[in-house]
Amino acid sequence: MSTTEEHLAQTSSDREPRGQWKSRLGFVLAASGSAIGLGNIVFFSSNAYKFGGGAFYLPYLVALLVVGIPIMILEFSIGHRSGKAFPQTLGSMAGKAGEFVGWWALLNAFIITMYYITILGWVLGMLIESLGPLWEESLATPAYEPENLPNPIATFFNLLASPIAILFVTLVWIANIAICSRGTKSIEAVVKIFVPAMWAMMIVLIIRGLTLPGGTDGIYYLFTPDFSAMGEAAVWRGAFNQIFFSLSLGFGLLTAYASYLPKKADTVNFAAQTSLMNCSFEYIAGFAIFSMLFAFSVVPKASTLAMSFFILPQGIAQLPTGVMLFGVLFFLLLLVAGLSSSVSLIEGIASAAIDKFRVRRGVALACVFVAGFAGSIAFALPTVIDKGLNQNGTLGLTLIDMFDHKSMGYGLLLVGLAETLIIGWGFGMTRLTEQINESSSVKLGTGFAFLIRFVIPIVLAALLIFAVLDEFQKGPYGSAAVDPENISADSWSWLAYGVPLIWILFTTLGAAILTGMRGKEETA
Amino acid sequence: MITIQTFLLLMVGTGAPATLEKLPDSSEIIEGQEVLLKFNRPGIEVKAKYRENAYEKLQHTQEIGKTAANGILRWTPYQAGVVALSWEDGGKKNVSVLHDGAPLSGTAVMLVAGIILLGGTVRYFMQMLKQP
Repeated sequence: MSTTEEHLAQTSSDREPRGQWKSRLGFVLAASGSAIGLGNIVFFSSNAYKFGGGAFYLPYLVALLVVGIPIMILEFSIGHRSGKAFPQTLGSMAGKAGEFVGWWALLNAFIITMYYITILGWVLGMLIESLGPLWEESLATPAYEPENLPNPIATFFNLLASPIAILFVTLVWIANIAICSRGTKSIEAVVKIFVPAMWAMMIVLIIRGLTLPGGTDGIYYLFTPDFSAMGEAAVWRGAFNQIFFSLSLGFGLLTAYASYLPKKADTVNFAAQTSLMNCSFEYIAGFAIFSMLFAFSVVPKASTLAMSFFILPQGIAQLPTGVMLFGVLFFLLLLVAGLSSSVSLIEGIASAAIDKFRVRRGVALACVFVAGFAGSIAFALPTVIDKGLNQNGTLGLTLIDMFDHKSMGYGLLLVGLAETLIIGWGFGMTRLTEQINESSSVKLGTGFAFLIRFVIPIVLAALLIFAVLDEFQKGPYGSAAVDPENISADSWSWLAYGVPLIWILFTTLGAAILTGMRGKEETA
Repeated sequence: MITIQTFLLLMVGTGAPATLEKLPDSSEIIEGQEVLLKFNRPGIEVKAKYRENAYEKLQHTQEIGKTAANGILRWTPYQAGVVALSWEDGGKKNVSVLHDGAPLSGTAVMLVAGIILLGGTVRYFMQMLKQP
C-alpha cells in the first residue's frame, strides 16, 4: 500500500484524539456557518443589483452548479479521506508541492482572518452604538474634514479614528479563541445556537421589510432582470467570483472541517447541502435588504462595508417604529454570522499547526492569536490619512481595501486553480471519485472529473487573467486610494506597491518555511 | 416668446438655489405614468439616473427637461426602481418608482431561484435525515 493510500485509509478510531463532529447536523451547521458571513447578508444582493438584478441569477446558478458545488465536494472529500488539515491533505496527494499550496492557502486565509476580525470589531462597536446614539440625525466627525455627516457614517468614521476600536477587536479575538478552545466540541455547541439564530433574525428582518409600504416592490426591483446584462462578460465574471468567495472555497478551512467527519460520511450530500444553504441565505437576505432600501429610496452599492455600516443603517434609521430594535438586530446578525465564519478561519489554521507539529490545541491557538491579533491591530490603527473621506479615511481601512483585493481577488482563485490541477491531474480523479462514491448516496460520474480537470481550471484561469489585465489597464489597485492629491499625507503612496509585495512575501516565504520545517509526524 | 413676467421670474429665480419643493406621494410614482415635480423656480434642468451604482453599462440617464415658468416639470419614469433625480446646484433626491403591477419576469426569476435554492436545501436536508 502506498503512503497516500495508507493515509487515506485511516480508520475513524485513528481520528478520535483529533476530535470528531458529534452529529451530521452539527457538521452541516458548522460548515454553513463558516460559509455564511458578512458578505452573504449585504453583499450578494447588492452585487446582484450591480449586475442586472434578476439577470444575475442565471450566471450565478450556473456558477453554483459548475464551480461551487464541485469544488466544495472536492474540498470536503479530500479532508474527509485524509483526516488531516489542508496542507497535510494536499501534501499526501502531491508531496511537498501540495503541502506548499496548502500552507500558501492558509496564510492567504490568515491575512483575511486578520482584517475580517477587525471588521467584526467595528461591527461590535456599531452594535453598542446602535443601543443609543447611532440613530440621531447627524453627527460631527472631529477627526475628519466634513463637519456633519449622516449619523451612521459619522459614527463609523469616529469609531475608526478612535483607539476604542482596538478594544472591540480584542474582544472579538477572545471570543473566537474561546469558541475554538475545545475544537469541534465547542464549535459545534456554538454553531447550533448561532446558525438557527441567524436564520431567525433574518426572517424577522424580512417580515419587517416586506410590511413596509413599497416593501414588496423592492423584491421585484431586485429580481426583475435587465437581460442586456447577460451579454456582458463582466456579469458572468462577477457571478463566478461571487460563488467562489461566498462558499468560502480556496481557504482550506472546509477541508479542515471535513477532516473531523467520521469515516462513513456522505460528503456529496454535505457539500450540496452546505452550498445550497449558503445560497438560500443569500437569496432570502435579498428580501430583507431590498424591501428596506426600496421603501426608503436608498440606492444600493456593491460593497460589504458601505452596505453594512452606511447604507442599511440609513434605511433602518428611517423605520417608522422600532429603529433601535431592528438596528440592534441587524448588527447582532452581522456579528453572529461573522463569528461563525471567523471561527472556521482560525480552526483551519490551528488544525494545520496541530497536525504538522503535534502541539496541543492551546499552544496552536496561542500562536494563531498572537500573530493574528497583531495583524488585526494593524488594520484597526486609528491613523487618519484621508481627512476629506475621498477614499478610505484611516490607514487601517486603506490596508483592508488593498489586502482584500489581493487575498480575495487573486489568492482564493489561485488556490482553487492549484487544487483542481493537483487533484485533477496529479492525484487522479478516478481514484478520488471511487472513494467519494463509497459513502455517498448520490454517485458521481465522469462529469465530475471533467469539471475538475477541464472546466473549472479554465474558468478560474480566465478569471485570473481578466483580473490581471484589468489591473494592467487601470494601474495598480489602490493607487487612487493613496494618491497624494486625495489624502492629507503623501507618505503612504508606497502602499500601492508595498501591499502586493508584503502579500506575496508573507504567503510565499511563509509557505516555503512551513513546508520546509520538519513536522513531528515526519520526525517520528 | 418670453413674456416680461416670465423673464422677471427667471431673473429672480436664478438667484435662489434650486430645490425640489413637492414630490408626489411614493405610492403615486409608477413606471410609465406621468407625475409632476414642483421646483422653486423655472428653468431648472433635471435628470433621472436609473440603476445608479450598477455596472456602468447598465446605468442610464433620462434627460427630463427644464422646469416650466411655474416650476413644474412633467416626468414619466420609464423603469421601476430607486431612481436618482439630480439638478443644478448639486441637488439630488432619490425616489422609488413602483412597478405597474407584479412584473412577470421578476416574479419568475424569484420563484425559479427560490425553488432551486430553498428546494434543494430541503431535499438534501431530508435525505441526510433519512440516512442511518
